[in-house]
Amino acid sequence: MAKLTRWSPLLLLALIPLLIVALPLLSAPPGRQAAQAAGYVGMETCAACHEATVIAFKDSIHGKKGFAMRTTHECETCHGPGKAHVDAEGGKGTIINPDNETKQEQSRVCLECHSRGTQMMWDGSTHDTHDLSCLNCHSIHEAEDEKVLLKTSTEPDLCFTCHKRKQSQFYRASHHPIPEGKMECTSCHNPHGTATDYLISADSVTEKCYQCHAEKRGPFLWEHVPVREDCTNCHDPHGTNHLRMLVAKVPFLCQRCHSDTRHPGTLYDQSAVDTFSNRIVIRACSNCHQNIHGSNHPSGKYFVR
Amino acid sequence: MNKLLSLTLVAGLLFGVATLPAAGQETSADQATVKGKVILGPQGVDGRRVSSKFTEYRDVPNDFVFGVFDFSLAKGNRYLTFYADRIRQRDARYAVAVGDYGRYRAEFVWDKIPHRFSFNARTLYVQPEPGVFTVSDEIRTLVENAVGNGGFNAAANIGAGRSLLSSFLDGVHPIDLGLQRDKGILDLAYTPTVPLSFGLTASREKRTGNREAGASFGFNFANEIPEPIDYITTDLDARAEYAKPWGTLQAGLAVSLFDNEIESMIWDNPLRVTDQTYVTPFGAYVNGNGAARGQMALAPSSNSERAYFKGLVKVAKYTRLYGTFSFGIFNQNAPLLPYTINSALVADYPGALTPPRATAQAKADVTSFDLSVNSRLVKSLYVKAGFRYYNFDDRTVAMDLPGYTFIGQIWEDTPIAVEPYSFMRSKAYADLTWHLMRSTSLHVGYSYSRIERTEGEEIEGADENTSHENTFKVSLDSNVLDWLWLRGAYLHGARRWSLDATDVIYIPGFAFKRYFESDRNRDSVNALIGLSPVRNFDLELSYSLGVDNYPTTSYGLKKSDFSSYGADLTYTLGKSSSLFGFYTHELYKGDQADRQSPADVFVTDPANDWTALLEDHVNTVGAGFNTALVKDKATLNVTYSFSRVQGTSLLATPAGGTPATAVNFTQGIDSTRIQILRAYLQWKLRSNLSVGLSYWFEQWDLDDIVRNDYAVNYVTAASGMYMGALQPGYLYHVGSLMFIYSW
Repeated sequence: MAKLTRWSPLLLLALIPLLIVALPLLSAPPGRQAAQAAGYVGMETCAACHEATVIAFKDSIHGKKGFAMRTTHECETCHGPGKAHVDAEGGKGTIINPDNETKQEQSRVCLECHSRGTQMMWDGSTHDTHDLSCLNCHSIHEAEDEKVLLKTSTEPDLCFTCHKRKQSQFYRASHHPIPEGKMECTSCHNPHGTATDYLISADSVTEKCYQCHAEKRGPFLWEHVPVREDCTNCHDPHGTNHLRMLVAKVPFLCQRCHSDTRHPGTLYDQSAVDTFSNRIVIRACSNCHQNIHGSNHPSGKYFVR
Repeated sequence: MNKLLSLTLVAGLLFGVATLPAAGQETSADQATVKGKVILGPQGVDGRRVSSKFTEYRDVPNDFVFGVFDFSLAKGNRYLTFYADRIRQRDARYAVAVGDYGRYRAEFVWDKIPHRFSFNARTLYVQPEPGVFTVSDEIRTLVENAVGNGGFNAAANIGAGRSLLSSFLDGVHPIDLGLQRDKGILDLAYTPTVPLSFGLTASREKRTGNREAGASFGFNFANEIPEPIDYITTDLDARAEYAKPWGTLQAGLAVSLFDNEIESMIWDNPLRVTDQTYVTPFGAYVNGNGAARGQMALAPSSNSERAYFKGLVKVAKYTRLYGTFSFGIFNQNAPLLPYTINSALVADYPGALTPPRATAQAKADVTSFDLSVNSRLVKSLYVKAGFRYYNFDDRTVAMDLPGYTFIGQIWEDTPIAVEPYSFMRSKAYADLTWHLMRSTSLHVGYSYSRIERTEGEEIEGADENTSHENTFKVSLDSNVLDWLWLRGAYLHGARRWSLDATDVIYIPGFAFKRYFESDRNRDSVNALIGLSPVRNFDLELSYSLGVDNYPTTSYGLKKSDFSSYGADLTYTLGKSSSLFGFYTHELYKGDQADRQSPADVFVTDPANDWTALLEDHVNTVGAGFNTALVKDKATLNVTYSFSRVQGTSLLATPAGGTPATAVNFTQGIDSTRIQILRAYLQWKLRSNLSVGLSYWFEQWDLDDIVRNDYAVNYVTAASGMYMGALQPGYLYHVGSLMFIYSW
């Protein structure tokens, strides 16, 4: 077996102290914005009436320096200048309540800072064009999840609010380990928008699958065409009742593309079950055609080797 | 790995503790805060526990459980966190992070994921070294002598040979089938100044174990062995981002190394101890009475490198221009195995025991490109248009082979060629979104997508073909009333295949088409209605329908559709009580047709046709409530869910052909049922100490025509020798008493 160059984990870990030591040399002190403009009252004024909210906000990720590096207006970054609200001694209509804004305006506020990283392609994305905004999934003040301020304690619970059929699919016998907490919806999808269909966070469906199933990447001497094009030609990654998340029971699934003399076109019915035919029991076609995702064997044209 | 983990944790802790006092610029108001939570306690497990299914992806120990350890240390903007759950279990997860908000973050995660296939597998094979499976020579010699040599004997005596082999099955030993993934992920992010940030993600995953593999010696002799898995996947992604008010630019390089420590496996043929082959091929490879050993190529080691670039430019206040580009290479150059290890085949082809070339020389260039613009045309009217391109250019060095071996039994003197398969996918699209009024938008979209294939069909004259599809979609989303919101969407797609008018796969008149490329009409409807007729009460109704019709397909998949409807309700009874319920019904259908040809000549008689209509009927229901039994002291949470899938089939064949009749299955083809009940009572003893008492009941049953207990046995019937890797139903009671301490 040819040995490939490997990255030593210890070598990578050794980069950490180097990076950290270099930080003071590379970093420049962050600039500060101009002083409070007219109409802005400052967070401490907000705290006079909304103390609990302000304390919780300061404790959240938005209360940290990363937010302050981008704005000095604190609460008023999202709520707008508060002077009118203070002068009126509170009350609705005297300050911006994002819940009352249009969806586009709600998102626009967040996108002032969050139009980078995985949120870069929000405008015109699937969720955006379906009249959703950041506040449909995230909550600044009443988040259940601290890290990314989701409205629910777990990510799948949030997605299943709308994606009911997908929720039901994860009860199936064969599914990815989302109910077990070992994966999340964002393991495969980027809900903020991608160039790839179905919000897949990779250049294609197959490349996303290769991130965890690299043994299927190949390329192989003998390719199985529908496998190379799209894994979902045969699998439903959310869950099915069939082995290995296949969309239909074998051998019937394979017979949707294969019919020939002898066994590919043969009907396997109860009589085949009664005689324990290897063309239907256990893994059916894969009992012999083991390398169904592609073969590197010179005699592997039919994926039996 | 334990040493590595310990080193990382110690390093992180030391660094975190060391940096905190060094923050001399912070004011005295930036006091260090320490928070944490520990959840631990005894857990008991009982029930019908012979199945691996319950613990397929998790550990549920009957033991003292260290559930969660959560620790955070923060001072000003600097922090150190440590989180661990399912500690010491095979599904544990540990994460340690240090950082300075807005400046840098370093996180290391160690994640363990089991994947268990069966506790019930048994095998006659032993594995004296990785990837080599043997059966005792004594057994093989006895069976070979009972069957004899030559084609005639293979047909006449094979039954006696298998019967003799089956008498040795008392000697099979159990083997746990399952995998374990252990993955370490290092994620670094650094922002030296606001517009510029760097990121580095490195991961290494070790996957070990085994799973069922088909290691056949003949189409009438399947043979199952535990394929050894020993994978190492190493990924590295380094990226930089520059974000300004006018836009964002990202660039990166991603490398992935997949290393298979066992790239082939060799296993004994239990029927033979010496190699042979036949002049008449049929009798040999059908019954597996040829090669003494088999060799299979397992997943080859490979690597990929990819450079990518993404950009967003805010051309105007409401206009965004997006672009992505990536170029990557997939490389796989594993040593090739010989055509066969059956020494008898050199008589037919002298080079049979050598590989056609030294290495695979397999490679593909993968290019993707996307350009789109999103803009507001006038107030409340937005347009998005774009073009997407993805090209998989297989550059594997082509190879002409003089023939090949068939399941290691015979030499097929038919030249074949390794011809790399490439495809190019492109899509042009345009969408209009009109915000009709506040909280109501209408969305209309059109796309033209195309896939061009090279060497996709093995049939002469069909090397190149194209599928193209026009798709139209419209959707309406409205929340114009506080108590009502609506979402509806409709999609229609029409795909056409360039070779659809020709009967390319088999014979004229037999219009067999492959559903992933052939003509297809797709229609789908989705509707979601949300109602809040009274305060604190939400009802959500959903409906979806999807139909794929293959209008020119007479044989193959002709139609596939699904439909589902459901209801969800939540009711908040008070400040600390709520209840919910849901129900979903789903139906999946697949309608296919085929033709049976018993001999070497393809049959033209439609009396040999058969059809299969497969359906999955799914019902899922759930309910639960959450309530405070004693205000600020005791809460109770109860949830229940039940899901049942019934797989059915309807087989049919016309009279007068072969098969004479279609014998429908006497029971559902695969039906499962799962129910889960969870109850959790938490009592607050003190402000930082609570006790949680939980009960978890879970039951799962499987009724499968080919995987039921009675059918899936370790047998050597006419068809093969299996491991009996069952996943029978289970029933679990899990009770735990957890102490939750926080500080």
